[in-house]
Amino acid sequence: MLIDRKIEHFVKRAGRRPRILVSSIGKKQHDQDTRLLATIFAGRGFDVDISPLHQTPRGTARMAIENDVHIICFLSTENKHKQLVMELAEELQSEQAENVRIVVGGAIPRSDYKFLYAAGVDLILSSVQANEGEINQLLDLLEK
Amino acid sequence: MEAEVNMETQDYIDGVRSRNRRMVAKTITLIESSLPSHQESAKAIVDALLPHAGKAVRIGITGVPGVGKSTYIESFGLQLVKQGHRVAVLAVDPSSSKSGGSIMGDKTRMERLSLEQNAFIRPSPSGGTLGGVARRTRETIVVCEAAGYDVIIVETVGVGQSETTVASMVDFFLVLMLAGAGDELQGIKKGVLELADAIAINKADGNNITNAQKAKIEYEKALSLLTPSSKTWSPPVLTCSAVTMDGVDEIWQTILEHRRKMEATGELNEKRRKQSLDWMWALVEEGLIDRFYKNPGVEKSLPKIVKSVEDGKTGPTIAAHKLLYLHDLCFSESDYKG
Repeated sequence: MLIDRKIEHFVKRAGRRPRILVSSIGKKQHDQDTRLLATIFAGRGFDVDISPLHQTPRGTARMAIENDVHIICFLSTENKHKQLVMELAEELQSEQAENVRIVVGGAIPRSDYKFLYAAGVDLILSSVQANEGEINQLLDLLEK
Repeated sequence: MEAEVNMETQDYIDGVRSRNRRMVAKTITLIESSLPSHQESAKAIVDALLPHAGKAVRIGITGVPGVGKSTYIESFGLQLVKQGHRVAVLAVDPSSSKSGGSIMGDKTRMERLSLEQNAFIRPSPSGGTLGGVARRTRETIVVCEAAGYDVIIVETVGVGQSETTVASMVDFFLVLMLAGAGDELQGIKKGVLELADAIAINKADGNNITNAQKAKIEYEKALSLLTPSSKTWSPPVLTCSAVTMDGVDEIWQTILEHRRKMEATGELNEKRRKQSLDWMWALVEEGLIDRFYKNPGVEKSLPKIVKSVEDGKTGPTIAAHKLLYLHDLCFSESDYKG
């Protein structure tokens, strides 16, 4: 099914577009990659929130809850993704928001995949962007 | 499936009343939902919360993109929180008409406020319809007030009709402006100035202070040409800087003074009563449009008629007449889905 059709289906079922928080968690400054990722999702029909800078896992979880997003997405920096994912999953759980999906992207070594999936990640992007197939997978995840 | 579908209306009401952040957020989602079943629940929830609302100071803030709205709200909000207030910021972001998606970046500049325990910031996508935004924002204000937020800030982008809509749901409408652009009054519509309860020249810091003072005089002149909407209040022109914090408290003091005066004369009550009527009419209009599209007669013939106008076979006047006729025709027999 096309992405457009899936989004349409989602809107009919949920009463709103899929909403995704693109977080700059772990980043010290706004970067092109995070902004580009946000633009890609908005261009495919998502409602996209962008977090402030200096975002912590706790701040990200809180923003996800306040904006009631379906997905949190962030890019790995300085190889801290394992730590950040664990903390984020913990924060979401303590706020009873464990149904929020976690997506990570960026330069993530294959050897980390197993760990990340076990820690609560729902989807790993193969680069700093999200391609058609990955957005499709993400929309499928939301139907589960 | 989303969890909210299974929750009971009373859970939302209790959640909001007990100031549970997650439940306030979920209730707003319900209000914003396009599903009739969600709207039904939202109606019941808002109705139950209404008696607990109405005590907050409602402030609308507008200004052209780049005027520094978000940065100003960050500084302003932080100061209010420091004084012991609970602040809710609602912002409407335009959705793309092409993809339907949107980017909401309000919080990118509200780095510190977004972490405050006594602050709640919720950007909302406009979803394409301005009318819908108005209803949802009004209802969201009620939810935030019932959750104990005593200052509600509604932020709007300075384009189109959104200012009029926001002004019709707040007590105080603040227009942010920039100095130093040369033609101070160019580009702002007279209509926006008429709505203003105060104008603030933002970014009055550093080398820009002199320019801001000049702009202040220009705007004062411009405002003096307008008839104020209230006998007791002439909108002042102020200067401020969200960076140095100069003038930020002065604006809050102005808002409080406005409130004192409006309360004393009964104008605040009168304004809110009028706003209730605005709200009712907005709902009627929205409902009529909704019914039009859901009318089986209209639904059936709409694509054909649209096509015919596109092809130039039917004139727009005749087509509109036909559609409205179809709507009236099916009026009695149609059992509305919504």
